[in-house]
Amino acid sequence: MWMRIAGTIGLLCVAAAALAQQVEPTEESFPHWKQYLQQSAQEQRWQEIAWHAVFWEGVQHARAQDKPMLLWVMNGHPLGCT
Amino acid sequence: MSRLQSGRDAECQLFQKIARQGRAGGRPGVSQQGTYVVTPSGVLLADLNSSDPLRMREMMERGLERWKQLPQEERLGPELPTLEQTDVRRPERSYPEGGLILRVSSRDLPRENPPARPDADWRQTAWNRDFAWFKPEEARQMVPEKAAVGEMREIPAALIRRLARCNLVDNVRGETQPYAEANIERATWNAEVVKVEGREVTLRLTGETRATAEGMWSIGGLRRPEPTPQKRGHATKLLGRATYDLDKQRFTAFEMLALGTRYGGSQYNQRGNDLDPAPIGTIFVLAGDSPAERVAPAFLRHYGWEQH
Repeated sequence: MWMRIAGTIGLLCVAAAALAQQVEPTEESFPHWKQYLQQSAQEQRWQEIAWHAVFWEGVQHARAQDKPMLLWVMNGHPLGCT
Repeated sequence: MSRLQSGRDAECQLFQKIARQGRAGGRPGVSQQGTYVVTPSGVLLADLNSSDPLRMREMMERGLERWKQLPQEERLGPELPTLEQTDVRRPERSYPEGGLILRVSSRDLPRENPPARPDADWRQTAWNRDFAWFKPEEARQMVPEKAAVGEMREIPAALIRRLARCNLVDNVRGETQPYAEANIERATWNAEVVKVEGREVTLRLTGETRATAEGMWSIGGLRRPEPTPQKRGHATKLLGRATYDLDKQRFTAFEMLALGTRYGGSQYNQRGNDLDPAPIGTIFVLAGDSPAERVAPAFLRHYGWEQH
């Protein structure tokens, strides 16, 4: 029994190592790398806020609504404005 | 960010007015990065440069309290011209309507030999996103002339060289620099028709890129800005699938992987202790249409397009 479990773990490790080495995309590995590289729902939660990408438009919107603005300015921020 | 900090148009001047009231005081050469709670009139209510959610909440609550204390005319200020009426030159004005707009996501791939002293923090799971823009006529150049299975097309070199310069860069942990045209050693991109259904043509995309640069630059961020002899490089193999609608004259589906190896670092991309060759991956998919998905590519100014 333990031999079979150890054998299965060994095979999984070999498969994982092979995957890690596989840096050339293939038809077979495409779905795996697609999922790996795209952001998860958790990583995209910041998009639940309807950000304005243009500061001036945000100012106009805030003025029309009589609301303060949260201004997020960052090199490399998630909106891609690096 | 650097445009807002140093530009002269109305939008930049409003930001600089706000920044001068903030913790960095708008001093030249000092980064004004961070989050600010401000009034539309340009009064700073609170500011912070931290990703700690509790400190962020406290800062926003503090800003909201100050907002409530200000009279409306001070909060709102005089009426402002529309964006079109100003001299603001936003890169988003170059958005190629009807073209191919791709969201570009990058991450490190699993490694067989991780660095001896890995950064045990956010850098372990870092990712970044950018965009790649193609004008409608450029997108059409990716499709073989004849819509028949087996037809091939070598996509114009200028398009893949642009991707290699501007998008196949190591921005996983932070901002970096594009490669120069002279740094591109290899850039091929081919499309083969694999399916034709009515007026929809499905393509298999393959290709290869390699860029290398050598010179004097810092890899130490703001703390160690002194240039030292450096090398960096990025090599990938491409594989993707895309569908082009001949009637709509645009892509209706697009997914492409670029997997390969990077090495070296640049001043702000946080690779100071991770310079050896390591696997990296990038995926290109169709972007949406929200304002956050219409943000200009980071290196649009290196496209050679006329800026509006």
